[in-house]
Amino acid sequence: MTTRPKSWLNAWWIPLALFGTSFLLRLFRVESSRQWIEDTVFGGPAANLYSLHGFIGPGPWTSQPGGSLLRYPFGLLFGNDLIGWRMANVLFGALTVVVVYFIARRLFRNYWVGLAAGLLMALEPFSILMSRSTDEDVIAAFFAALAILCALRFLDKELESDLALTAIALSAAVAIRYYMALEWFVVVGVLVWNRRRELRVWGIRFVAYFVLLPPAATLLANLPWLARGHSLGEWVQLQADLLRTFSSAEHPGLRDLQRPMRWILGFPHKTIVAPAGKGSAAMSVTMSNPVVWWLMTPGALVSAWSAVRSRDARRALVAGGFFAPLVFFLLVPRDVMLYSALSILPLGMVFVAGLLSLLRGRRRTVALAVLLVCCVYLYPVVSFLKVPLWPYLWLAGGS
Amino acid sequence: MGTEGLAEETRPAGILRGYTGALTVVVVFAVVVIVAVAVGALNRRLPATRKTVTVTTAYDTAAVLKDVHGATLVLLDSEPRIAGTEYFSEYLRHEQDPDLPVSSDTVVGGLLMSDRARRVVMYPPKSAWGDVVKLAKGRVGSVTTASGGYRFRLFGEAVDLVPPTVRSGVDGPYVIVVNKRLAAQYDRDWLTDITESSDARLVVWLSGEVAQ
Repeated sequence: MTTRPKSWLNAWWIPLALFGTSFLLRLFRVESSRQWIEDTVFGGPAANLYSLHGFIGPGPWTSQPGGSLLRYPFGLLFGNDLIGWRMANVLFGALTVVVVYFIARRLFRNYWVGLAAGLLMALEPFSILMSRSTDEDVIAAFFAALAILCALRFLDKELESDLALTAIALSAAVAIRYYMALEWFVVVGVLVWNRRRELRVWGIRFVAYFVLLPPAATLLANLPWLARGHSLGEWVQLQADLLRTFSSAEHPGLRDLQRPMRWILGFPHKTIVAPAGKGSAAMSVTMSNPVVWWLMTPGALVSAWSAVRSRDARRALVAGGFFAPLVFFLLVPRDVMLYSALSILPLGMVFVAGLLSLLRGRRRTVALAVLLVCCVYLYPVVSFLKVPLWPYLWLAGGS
Repeated sequence: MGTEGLAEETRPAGILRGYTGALTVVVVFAVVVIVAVAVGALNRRLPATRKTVTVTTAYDTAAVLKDVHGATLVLLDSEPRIAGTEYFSEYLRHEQDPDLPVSSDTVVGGLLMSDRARRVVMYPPKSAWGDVVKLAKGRVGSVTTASGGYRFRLFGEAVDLVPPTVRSGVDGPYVIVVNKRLAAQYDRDWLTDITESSDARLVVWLSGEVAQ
């Protein structure tokens, strides 16, 4: 009996320590208003306005209101100010680190890889900075990562509870941000393909969980709006307008795809030329953080290669699941990096940890570390950017 | 045999055996859809028969419309406000200083803020339509509707701008707001047609001074 608490602690001290560290790093100067992303000034009021009155705003009407409902209780608990508005992101940002730890551990079946992934994610300045914003993508990214973790568990253990949790997390992600529906296709595709010989057993469950739960969660998130007297038909019309608005917009992302080199080097460029303003400038510099891109690109390429080569459903799930939301941002004229980075950042960290684990021997590890550091400082030179100030932004406080 | 037999007996019988989770999801989905339909319908309240009122301020409008909730507002306007937040700011400005003259924007803002109306359909006169089209082009979030009108979003609510030539009738349980200046600018016969031959449950004539 006396050994139980100790064994529990032994099993959980790393995730708890990761959570504590991540939480504190994200909490540090969370109240600072020196710099902010534009969303900050209307994120909190939007949560109050929607939760209490069902108004979608004052943000863009194309945003899904699920995140506002989740953020509202934090305002009640921590105050209707910057701290209260940002606290949801602090919590969900820190929880994402723990989820990333578990994903990497499960994917590579290696404790150290999990720890490396968790630490990389915990210390990554972009993740920290976004967790100090009021942007709902941080919350959506957490649920997207949780869905991947649960789906991985399902592939390993074949438990219906894991399937249900996958669908619930995926539904929450979709209810907060529609672009997460692209992850839905990957997760469902991989699971169906993996269980293709047992579809008689799993088919009805797949339909119930993955076809019915996401619209149910989305409708649930829209109840305050519907309660203002709107009909279900009007809601469907609203969603149709939303899709029409996005589809009728320009597609600069596709243009970039036609020029692969510019695509790779120009990703952060897009945000560097963001509109002038204190918040935008800070955000641009942050999003151009070369650590993210130069670490993630080799990690992602190696993972894609190994997933294809080994026909590994688990790797395909993680890689595809995190990358899928990025496709949306290649099709619509949005600040690509701001949102998609949050979705694929966990992926990058997981695979960078995996990549590091492939290296055996001190020389190779040191060589890789030197290469990465060079990348960090050479990146601004090759892309004609000013030296990124991410350490400053990290310490400076609010996003 | 004994234990296996008992285990079989205690399981749910029939084809649903083992599908408790899936069934739960089906029930949850059905409940959410029913609630989503019901919550909107229960919150829509309009007078049983058509009512015509004359008011002078946004506050009077809100008082008169206390039995109305969740209606569509048809605004006959000669200066289409594409930036929808102006409705709200105009209303808030008026709240700060009640001596300010009431404009149609104040009324619309009041109706929306008090949740008497939740969607706006605007009928700009023919003469203003060219400006509407010009303003609409290039505006992020605008949607061109099949009817030839333009649709915008006002705090998540649709603002349809419809030229009189495209749609000349109001065919829903709307609230119509007409003010003095607008009444002067519209063709009187057309205006009468709109208000009297429509299914609108409420027609509000705003006779107060109008801000320019």
